Amino acid sequence: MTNLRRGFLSIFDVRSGEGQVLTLLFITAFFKGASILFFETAANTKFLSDFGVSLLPHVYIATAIISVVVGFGYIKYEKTVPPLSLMKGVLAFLIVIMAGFYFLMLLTPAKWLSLGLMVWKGVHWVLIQIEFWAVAGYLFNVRQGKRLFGLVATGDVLSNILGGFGMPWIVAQTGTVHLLLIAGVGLGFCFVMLMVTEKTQGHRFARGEESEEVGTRRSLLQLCRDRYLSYFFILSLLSCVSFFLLDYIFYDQVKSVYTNEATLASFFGIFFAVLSLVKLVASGVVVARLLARFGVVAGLVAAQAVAFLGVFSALGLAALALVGGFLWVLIGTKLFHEAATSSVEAPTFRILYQPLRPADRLRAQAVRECIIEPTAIALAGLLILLMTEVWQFASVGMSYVLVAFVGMTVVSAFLVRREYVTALIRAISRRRLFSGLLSFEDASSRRILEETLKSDMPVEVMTGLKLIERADHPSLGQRLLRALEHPDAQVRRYALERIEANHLDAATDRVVSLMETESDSEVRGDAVRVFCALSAGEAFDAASLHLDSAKKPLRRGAIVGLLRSGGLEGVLLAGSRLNDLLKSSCPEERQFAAEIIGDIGRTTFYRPLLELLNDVNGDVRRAALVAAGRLSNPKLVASIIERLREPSLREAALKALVSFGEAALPGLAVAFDREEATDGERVQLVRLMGRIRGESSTRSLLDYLIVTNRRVQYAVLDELGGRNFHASGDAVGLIRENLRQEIHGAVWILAALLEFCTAEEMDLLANALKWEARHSRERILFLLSFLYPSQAILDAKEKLCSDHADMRANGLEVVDNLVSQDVKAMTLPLFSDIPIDQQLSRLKDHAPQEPHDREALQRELITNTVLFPWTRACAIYLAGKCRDMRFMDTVRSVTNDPSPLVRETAAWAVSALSSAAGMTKA
Amino acid sequence: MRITLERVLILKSIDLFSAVPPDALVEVASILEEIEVEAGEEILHEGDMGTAMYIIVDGRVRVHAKGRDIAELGPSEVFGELAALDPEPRSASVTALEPTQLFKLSSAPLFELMASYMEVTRGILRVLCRRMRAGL
Repeated sequence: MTNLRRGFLSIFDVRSGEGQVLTLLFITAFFKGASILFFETAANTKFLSDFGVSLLPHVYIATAIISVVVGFGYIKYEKTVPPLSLMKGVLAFLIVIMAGFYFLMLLTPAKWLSLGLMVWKGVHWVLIQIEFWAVAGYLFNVRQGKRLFGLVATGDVLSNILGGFGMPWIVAQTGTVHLLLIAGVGLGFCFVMLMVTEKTQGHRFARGEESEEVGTRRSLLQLCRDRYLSYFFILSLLSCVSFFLLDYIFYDQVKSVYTNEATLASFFGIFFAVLSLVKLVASGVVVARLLARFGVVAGLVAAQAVAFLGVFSALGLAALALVGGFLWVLIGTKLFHEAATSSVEAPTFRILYQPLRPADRLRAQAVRECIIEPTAIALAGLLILLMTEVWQFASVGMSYVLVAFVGMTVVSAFLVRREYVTALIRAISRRRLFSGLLSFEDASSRRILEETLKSDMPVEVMTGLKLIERADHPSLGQRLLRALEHPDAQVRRYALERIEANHLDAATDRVVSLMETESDSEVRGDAVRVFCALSAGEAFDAASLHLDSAKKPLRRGAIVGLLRSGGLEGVLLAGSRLNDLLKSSCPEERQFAAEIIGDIGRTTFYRPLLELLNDVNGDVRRAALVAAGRLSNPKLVASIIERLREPSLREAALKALVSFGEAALPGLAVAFDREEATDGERVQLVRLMGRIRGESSTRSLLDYLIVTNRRVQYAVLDELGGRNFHASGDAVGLIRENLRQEIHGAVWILAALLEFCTAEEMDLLANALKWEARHSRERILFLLSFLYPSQAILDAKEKLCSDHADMRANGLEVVDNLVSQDVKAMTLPLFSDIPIDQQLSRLKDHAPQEPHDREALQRELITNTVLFPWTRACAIYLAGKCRDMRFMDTVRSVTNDPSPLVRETAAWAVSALSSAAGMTKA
Repeated sequence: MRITLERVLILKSIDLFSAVPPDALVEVASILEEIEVEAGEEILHEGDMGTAMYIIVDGRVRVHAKGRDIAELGPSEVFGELAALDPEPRSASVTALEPTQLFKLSSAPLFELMASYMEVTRGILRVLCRRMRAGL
């Protein structure tokens, strides 16, 4: 029984934990289908008996109008009523209407009731479908929907087959009116199933509201302005018009052949039975595989492809004057088109709601099914009237129009697919903050800027000034002068720095005034320096006055000003003072010298820093690092890298190296390749390369991608990912090769995990392998991000690492939609929440694994240097702990491993195994 | 003396390090100080500035303040946990009830490690965020 159940679940790709929800939905779908079948049969029979087909076009138009009215009502309530209450309300409303029709028909034979019944038929269908699929949307996430919505729909089809075949007998027993009672009972069961669903799965509805961003509800107009939704609505409209055009052509043909009621009824009986069977096969077996393999676009164009091929063939036969062929090809086309529409296209449409916010999901569904589709039905009716009454088209002529509509539908399907991916990515990254440059062209940007510049917060004012400078705005000079009046000294210093950098001569008078009156000595010192830069001719006289000032900032400003702009006299005078400071025995003086060299900022002044970087005093070394960063002379790189080993100076050294930019790369490469460099140091160097932007650093990072050390490799991937690297040229081959190797490695890890996860005593190793597998998946996703839209894949990576199944499903859906078919087949099973044996089975064609025995696997885990040392150490530890002598030689072979962890664990295990061997001998 | 792997396993069982990946815990294990105290020996004194956390490897300790017993802790339990991240005066004294083996993790080397190993920082932050959310 268990095997049978497992086989069933495997065939239909039902995974652990999904069985109960699937059963609930399947049963509900069964009753929903029964309700629709019996209601529609009763409506059709009563209407045709009382009115014939003459009023049918009017019924369609009335149905469309009432559907729109009811649809607006639904949308209104959907805004305010919680989802479960709304769904219960819809079912209760349908039951009441059904009961009303039933009892009125029992009481009176009035013909208007048959007309009402026929009009209500379409509304009934729309509302019950909305209710059912809205529930399904809450119970399954996007990935589950792709796999299981088709199977869920088979409940509906099953009740149609059973009810359809049993209909003649039922009608003979009860009469037509009592079919309404059966339909009402079906609705009642749907209501009961909804209550059961609420009781057992109520948390899923709450989760849907809380875990995702709900946001404000958008108006109908705003909804239609959303590009994704507008394409989606256009697709729905075109698809629906195509459906009714084909429908009309089909009935027209059938009517021309089957003239009496008996043959017509026989034909429809067989037709609907076969249709239901085709739907059953399509829903249960084909849909999930089609969507999983080719994505949503296949689901959207399947029905159109059937219509196009069928009608095109039929037109070919008509051109050859094969009238019989035309008829039967059209009947076949209608059969498969209707099956594809309800079994493939409808579930795909429901998947398309998934990227929407919960607040928009129900609303968009209601708009489509209550407004767009009825409008399409009315449009199709009007178009048919136009073609038959005005243009006098026959079926052949209408077929050409149909082909045109099918073409438009296919185009809109591809547009929807493109926007679907964008919408999914947007849904995932919705919480991401983003910033943009202010243009200052619009009033709101200018207002923000004014407020920023008036702020008491120095950082805000400086940011405002930076933005103005970056935008090269003409008001910069005026704003900087105004900033010299700012109460905060930090802002005044920043303004002076920018005045100097922009050589703003107009500020000279104000700078002179600061030199004389400014109370803050730091600002005064800066003013001296800036004055030297602005008025080089007067620099010596003005600055030399401050060379012996008791205030350090003034001395500093004077020395820097003179060395930069003081002419020969100034350089000689200030140079001798700087030399004195460099040779001072006082660390504070040497630190001051380093600061001055940094302020001067001339790369040729680097030599004194070589000494200061190795000064005995830490503060001097730190100041020298800062200065070295400002000079950015490549000859300083090696000395700065040395300082990385000092934890207290590491950050300063990193900052200094980053400011060198790409000039630091050769030095970093030398440091990386040093034999004595530890893993930690190499990771640090890689992180540093990552902080240095530019193509050369990207190339350097790519060079280190092939290193075998996992920690270093991860840092390289992380840094490349951080800069949204996209491979081109030769790099594509490198990344693809890495990807292939990673996938192979990941499959091997899974095979090992499968072997060890069942043994309790091997828990330690199984956990290490799980962690190794997770890391491997992350590396694969990084590599994928280098080949496909990087930010989207990296966002998906974050989701796939989440603890929440829904988030992982969203991440998987993004990957599914972005990567190519061949890569998808090799990677998706690795990211799917399926048991390891299933993952391996799906990957066997892409990364075949030789059968392993546990002993051989453990040996490989011990010796495989590609794995993390932690995993290898766990394998060694277990060998020692279990006193398993079979591993003695293997463990001995890694006692000189480069990894200290592996070496230490191996030494311990050898000792443990030796003592066990000794005890055995004794 | 425990090997690094065994130290990592002990660290892994502590909530603060539960989200730190094992390869990064190897680095944490390398800065652990292994200390042994006799029964009755005071390990921490109430009011002293705390800059380290302690993990009980073997033995039992008594946590007490102002002459009153607050708790008794045993193997794999931790005290002074947050002091390693945010030094503050000890709110209670801790005394060994029997010969006890401890791992001491001081804030200075831990901070250095956190500066070098982003994984350690991320793992600790994750646990602190989890605690904050649970407390909200």
